[in-house]
Amino acid sequence: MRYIYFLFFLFSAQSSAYDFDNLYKQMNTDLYEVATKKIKKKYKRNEFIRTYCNSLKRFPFSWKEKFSKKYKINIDSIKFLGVTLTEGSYSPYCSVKSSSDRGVCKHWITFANQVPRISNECK
Amino acid sequence: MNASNIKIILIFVLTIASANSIASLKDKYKEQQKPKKVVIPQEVLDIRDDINNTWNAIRKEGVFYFLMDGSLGNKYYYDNNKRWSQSSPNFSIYNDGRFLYNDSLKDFFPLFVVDNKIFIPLITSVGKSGTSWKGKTISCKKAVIFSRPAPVGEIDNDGIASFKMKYLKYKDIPKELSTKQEFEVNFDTKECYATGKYVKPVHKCHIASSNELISGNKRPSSNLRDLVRRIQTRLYLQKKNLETCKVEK
Repeated sequence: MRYIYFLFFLFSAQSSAYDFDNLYKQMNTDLYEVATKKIKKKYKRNEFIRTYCNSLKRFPFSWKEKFSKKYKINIDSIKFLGVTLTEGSYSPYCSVKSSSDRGVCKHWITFANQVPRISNECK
Repeated sequence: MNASNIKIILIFVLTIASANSIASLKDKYKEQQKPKKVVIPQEVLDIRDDINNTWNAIRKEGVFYFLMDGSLGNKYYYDNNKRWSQSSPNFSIYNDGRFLYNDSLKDFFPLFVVDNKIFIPLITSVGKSGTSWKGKTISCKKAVIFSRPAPVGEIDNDGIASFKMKYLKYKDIPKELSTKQEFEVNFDTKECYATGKYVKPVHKCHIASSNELISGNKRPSSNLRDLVRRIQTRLYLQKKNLETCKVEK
């Protein structure tokens, strides 16, 4: 009878033990998966920035309107000079140059949620 | 029907209409006061329970340590003149092994040791892009924060573990794993050596269990006690915003 009790104790003690070895492996797999997804997302975002930047050939009319209003200049004087794509260590950066009554300006393009926004600051 | 009759009817209709509108606002008010039924998907609840149970098991069977830098004369920093310099330590260690912290806690990180495996708690924000928990992907419309046990290394038969991480600056739980600093810790003798991107010369670090830190303080350090408690209470997946979550596979 004692033997049976001992076996029962042994079984219950073993069944309640947490498998930390498996947890260690599983958490490694999970984190690898999360990191892979993050890299894929970053790659997709970077590709979007590159494609957008290289395909930009003129300023959107709405941007020209805002820019001309901000600096009180003639909208027709705004000319597109070209884009510059710079490869940073984290992501590519895109900027565009304009020529207008304000002079030559550099504008950074930001991409929040894959929505490009051309800065109307003149730098 | 004469004019006075029409007036009476109009007054009657308006009275009823206004009474109804008051009643409907009252009803709406009552409706607003009722607690909204929050429905959390069962699969999400299962993951929450599993995260909490995992931490319970680690807390129950493991030891909660702090790895710290800054022993007397052993802390280096890259000064304004671009030279390695020694700075005043964050804490002093007495001969009997007790710790006394100075004002600020900054160069440290928490870790758990269980079954010779070293885990650090890692803050994970579960948003729309989701995260993995034991092979399942959970995503939430509104961000839900939880701490996951992240594996950083294993202790060998001699009680020594080599792993990479970085010190936290005033944060209690790291948000990401790092390879910026390298550590070699003997958990039997409590010897600890570190080198890294910011402090290149190999220098001594210190490791102490949370119990040693709390009970061993000569001058009770409230920020240290608070830190231990704060980390302990942040190891669970909270219920807030869980109704916006779903399990994908």
